[in-house]
Amino acid sequence: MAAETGTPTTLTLKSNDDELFSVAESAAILSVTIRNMVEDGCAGGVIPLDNVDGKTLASVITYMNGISAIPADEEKKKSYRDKFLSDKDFETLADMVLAANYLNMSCLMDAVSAKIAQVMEKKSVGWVRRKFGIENDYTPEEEAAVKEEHKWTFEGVETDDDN
Amino acid sequence: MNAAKRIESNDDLLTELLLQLPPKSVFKFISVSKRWKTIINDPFFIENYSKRRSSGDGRLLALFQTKFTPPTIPGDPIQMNILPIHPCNITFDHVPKEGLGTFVNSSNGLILCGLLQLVGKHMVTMYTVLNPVTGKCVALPRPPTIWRDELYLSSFDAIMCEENKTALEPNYIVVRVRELWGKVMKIETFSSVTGMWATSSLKATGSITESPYEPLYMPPVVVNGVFHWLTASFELAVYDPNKYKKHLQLIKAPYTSGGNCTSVIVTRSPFPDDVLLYGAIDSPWLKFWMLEKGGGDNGSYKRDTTIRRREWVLMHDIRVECLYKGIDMSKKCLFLDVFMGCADVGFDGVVSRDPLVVLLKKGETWFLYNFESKTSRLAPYRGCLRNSS
Repeated sequence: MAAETGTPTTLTLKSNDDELFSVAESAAILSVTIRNMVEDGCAGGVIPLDNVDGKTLASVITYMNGISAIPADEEKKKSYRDKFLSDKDFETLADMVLAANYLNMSCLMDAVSAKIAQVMEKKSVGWVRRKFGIENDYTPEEEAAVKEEHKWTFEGVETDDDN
Repeated sequence: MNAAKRIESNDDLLTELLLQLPPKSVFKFISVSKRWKTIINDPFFIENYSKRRSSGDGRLLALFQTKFTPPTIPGDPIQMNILPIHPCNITFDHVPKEGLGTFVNSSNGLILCGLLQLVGKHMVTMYTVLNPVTGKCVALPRPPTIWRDELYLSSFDAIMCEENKTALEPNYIVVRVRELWGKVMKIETFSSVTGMWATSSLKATGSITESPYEPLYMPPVVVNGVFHWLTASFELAVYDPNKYKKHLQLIKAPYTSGGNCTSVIVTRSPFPDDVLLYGAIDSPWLKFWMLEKGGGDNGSYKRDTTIRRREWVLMHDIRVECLYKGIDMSKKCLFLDVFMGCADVGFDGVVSRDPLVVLLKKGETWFLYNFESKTSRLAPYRGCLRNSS
């Protein structure tokens, strides 16, 4: 077996659009979902990940490899995460939240939600509704009342450009 | 369905995102939709949110007003440093145009500020309640009495916040002492539920003080919903507005050698024990006593008579110099101390009640002493300490 010959075990992951990825087991088990499959012995062939598309999975694997190459140094890991997320747009970040949730990767999950929050922070209510596809179910009177109650939150600069 | 929409329709994922936002954005996004309003206004959400915002080492301990707003600059926000272990700056919005005045007291994360204003011929304190988590200010209506001795009695005003879970509508009362005479303490209470002030009389279990001019000794400590004043004759005057609306229980403070007793502290252990604790620096000793509830009804401290001194049980008895053993006393903090004037070791606050951790000061060095592990460590912070209940 691979472990006996000293070669690192690799796993094959399959995205929901049928792309195949090879990844070192040591990196892949950052995902609790994958680790459970490995421990249960059902990681023998190809691991199908039905909720993640190829583009997102490629990105997650880049993250898995990058972060697992860093020794136990929280500072360095944090700066890797910041750099990794710095060029991702809102849609990509949203895909990654879903992937991190499905794969049960808490460190990625926390970092990506913090990043999305950072993007949302200065945006208007209208931007949030548009990006998340939310229908405004307040009547104009109700909305005016809610805004009046929290008037202090509507001061200051809002930037609604797309990223 | 796109990814963002899928996140939005999953309560857990949406909550996770909202928890990461700064307070102003969270409350702004209440107007996104009714569902967001329900999630954000959920007491569970607010509780989690408050926990996350108050950094690891614990709860709101003390406030340091770092920038005073003179009333001549209306609306200029004041800044405060909170949490001595991890100081952070908060800017408050919607400050009344006259200003906030100075810090009076705090409870469960809410801050009470008072500004002296001239109404006719009288000075009256106008109060503002601040929530440092949301940065929101609420100006209270004018108190009913305008003839009390504001300069002296306003030091004994207090706020009690019951449950600061729905940070939007925290439930609180503000109590001000109107007058003290013999066995009677008259107070005025503002309730956030009614939005009004009410006057009431508390009947004490004995004569409150022998010195009617300076009857109280230090700002009240509010713990577990109960108010504790220390009188000039070294008795605790305990008022529990939830259980006994007209009763003021006097408790004689434990015996100390008097002259050497420079600093005292009062607290209670967490629920459900709720045991009263009294600490004093009685040089060269630091002593901590606890009071058994004994014969009080429903396991409370309510009696018909003043509780005697000998009912206190000594729990800790440590030589003062052992407290700061191993601490580098050259590490001074930048601060302006206006509350405790003593050069020796003094108490300044209770950081945690289980285990019992207190904030102490020696000279210009502040440190924390943990009674369970019997260890001390430096408390690095800066600011102007006014109150730390």
